[in-house]
Amino acid sequence: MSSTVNTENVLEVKNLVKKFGKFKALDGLNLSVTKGEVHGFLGPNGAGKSTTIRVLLGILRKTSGEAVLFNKDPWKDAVSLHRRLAYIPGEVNLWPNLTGGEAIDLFARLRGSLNKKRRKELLERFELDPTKKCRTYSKGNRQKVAIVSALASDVELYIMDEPSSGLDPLMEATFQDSVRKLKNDGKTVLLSSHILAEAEALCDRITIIREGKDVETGTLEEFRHLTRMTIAVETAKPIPSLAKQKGVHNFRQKDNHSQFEVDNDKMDALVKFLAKYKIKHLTSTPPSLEKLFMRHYEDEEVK
Amino acid sequence: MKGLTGTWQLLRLALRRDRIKMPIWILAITAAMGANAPAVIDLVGESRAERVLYASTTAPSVVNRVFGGPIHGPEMGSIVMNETFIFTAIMVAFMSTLAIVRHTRQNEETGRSELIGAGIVGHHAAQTAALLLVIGANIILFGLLSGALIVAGLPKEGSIATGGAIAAIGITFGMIATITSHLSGTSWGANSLAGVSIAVVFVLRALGDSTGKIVNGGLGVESNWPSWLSPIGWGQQLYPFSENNWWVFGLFGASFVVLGVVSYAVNARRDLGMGIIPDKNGPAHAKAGLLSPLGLAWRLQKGIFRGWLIAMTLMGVVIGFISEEFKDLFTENPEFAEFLGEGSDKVGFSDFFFSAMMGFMAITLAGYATQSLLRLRSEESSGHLEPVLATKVSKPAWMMSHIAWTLVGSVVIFFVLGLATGVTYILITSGSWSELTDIVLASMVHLPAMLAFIGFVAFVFGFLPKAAVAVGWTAFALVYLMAQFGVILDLPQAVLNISPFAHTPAYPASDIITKPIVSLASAFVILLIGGIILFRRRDITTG
Repeated sequence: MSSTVNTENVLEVKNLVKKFGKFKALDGLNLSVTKGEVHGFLGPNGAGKSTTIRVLLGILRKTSGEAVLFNKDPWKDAVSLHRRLAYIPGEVNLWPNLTGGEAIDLFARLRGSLNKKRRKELLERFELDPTKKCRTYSKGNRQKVAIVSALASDVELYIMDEPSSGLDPLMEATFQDSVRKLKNDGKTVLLSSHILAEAEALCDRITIIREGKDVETGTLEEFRHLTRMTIAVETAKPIPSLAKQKGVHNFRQKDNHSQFEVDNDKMDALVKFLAKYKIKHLTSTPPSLEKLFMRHYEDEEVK
Repeated sequence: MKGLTGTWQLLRLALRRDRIKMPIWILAITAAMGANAPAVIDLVGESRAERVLYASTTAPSVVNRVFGGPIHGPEMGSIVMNETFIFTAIMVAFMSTLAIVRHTRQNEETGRSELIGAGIVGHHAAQTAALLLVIGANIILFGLLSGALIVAGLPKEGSIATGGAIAAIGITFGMIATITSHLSGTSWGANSLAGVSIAVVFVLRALGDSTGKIVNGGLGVESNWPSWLSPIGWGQQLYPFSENNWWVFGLFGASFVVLGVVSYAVNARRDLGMGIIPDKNGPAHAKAGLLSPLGLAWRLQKGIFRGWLIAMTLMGVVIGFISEEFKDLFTENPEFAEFLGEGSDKVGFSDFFFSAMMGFMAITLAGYATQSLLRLRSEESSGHLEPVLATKVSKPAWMMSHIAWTLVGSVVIFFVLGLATGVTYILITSGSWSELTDIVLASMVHLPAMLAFIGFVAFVFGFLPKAAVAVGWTAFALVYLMAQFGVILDLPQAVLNISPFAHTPAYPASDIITKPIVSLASAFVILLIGGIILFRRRDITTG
């Protein structure tokens, strides 16, 4: 194994490139997932999330760079690695003439193990009828088949590619509960998503991918430090020239009410400046993941 | 008509999707009749004596009545009809049914229709666009086939009637496929039902023709009533080159009206995505037998296997049945033996007959190998394979699980074909059971060639995944056409030798020689290993 790879990580990707003909789907991607964490993998459609996952599953062959799963090569050691993981595809295609129950059992057994008690529990929690033929399931129900099958397997790593697409809000909540349970049991989860609320609710760390490159990695906390707080302030007298202060963005003002964003490193100076105008009320809100996310894509559009 | 809004746009979409497929079908069908007509004329000979000889030996033959139809007299056109019509009619039936299912049920199954249906598109637009496509293709075929027959030197009126009959059969089956697409919830089911309808129509007229009366002084056949229940039979009852019964087209017209009314009435009532035949619920838990790559592959392969097994058992019984009548012709009519080809008089009847028949059936069974193995590709392209490979199943293990069933299936089907033929033959002729081994061997001797063909398709799957379906079926069509028409078309032996089936010794007419059998088996092993290695090394591609 190369010395650049951290062997304590469950999953480690360095400078990964995957080309389809001339098209570069992955262009130097880095991603690492440590044991026991729920790692969010975020990006817009076509950013390369599914391609990354397919390389990690040994379904696609990398063009260059490194991809390591449990310190093994996902392409060469696919079979032994797959005993240790369960995969929920983004688009679940099932055999039309098998029942949902048969598909659940089949995948679990091909993986190696099926926890019968958990299977029963999960079917109840997700309200899935396992006697229906797969061709009669809606998209959400097909998704449930894949989720139930994966969660009924006892493995170390769960790789989920937009797992909750097609689920209704109630089922989305059930799904989030199940992922928390996995985390409590010490399992590792790679969760690709574009539902930001889901990632915000579940993930310990997040990697944002755009056009085949990772653009940001870290905990939500770290992300917030890098960016801006939103400040809403009411003062006794109007503040002139607030908009011109260093680090202030998206400034809006109505009478004595002002709302704006401020760079984190300018916060101290700004609060001192505001104090001169007699603060009556002040709220400061950390940025939501959505804001962080949007910022990356808005930046792209400006370029 | 609000129900038809958007038909024109959908037709353009269908034309765009089929821009390569349909022209290939149309050209292949035109070639099947157009290229064979002059070859048949050449082979039979144009003098009246030669034509009378052909008609007098053909009319009483049940084999010919089943596979060729009712000959009507010694006219050259009737002879060409007899040699080419049924084959062409079956091809046009498949072209039309596959196209209709592709543009109706398959769209629903893949969810494309939902997207289309949400646009400004009427309820009947999809079905109508598919029908217009098929009607258009058949009208083009009408022109090309009539033209080809006229160019071959046949009378104008008869040529036009023949081309028209083929086109009318194509449209009839297109309309039948709109109904099978309503009945079944899957395109596989809709195609299967349409295939069954083609088989039923073939068998109905085979029954009517084989039980018909000899007329025209021994030169013609008057079919029994079951032929009149079959659209392919109607085409033949036109007797294009002798009577030109134009009124028979009225039957086609009436069937268009009936099928159309039924199909549109069902279409107006049916929910999108659902079949009329309801989906039953199944087991909540998988049986242990399903829970392995081999078990899953069996589940996906057993329908194909059963269909072919039933068809080949029936064919075996039919071959056994007709063998007696063939035997009489063979022993009583030396000219007939001569007509069958060089050397046929030197070996015993059964040796000659069974080696020829089993040779033909073996090539038909290459279709089983193709259909069964291309399941590999459809599993990959439909996205079913990806989650399977994300488990501990390895790529070679998955690939071999399907190929294993193709191999087992081939052995069983070849064995049962030989057995059904032999048992029927021995019962019918009160023959000796000692002949059974030879007849079963006559079928099984083709297994090495089948293996080589299986190896080829497996290799193509590993090497050219996206072209695998096209290459696989084209290879089957070429092998089939070379065997069917290679001699008539006088193709050089080097070309005929491309087919693995050309290397099988014609047992029991000739001895089993080990050399070609060993070479064919080695070709299988090399191609199979190559296919697996290439598959291991390549990406999985969907869509």
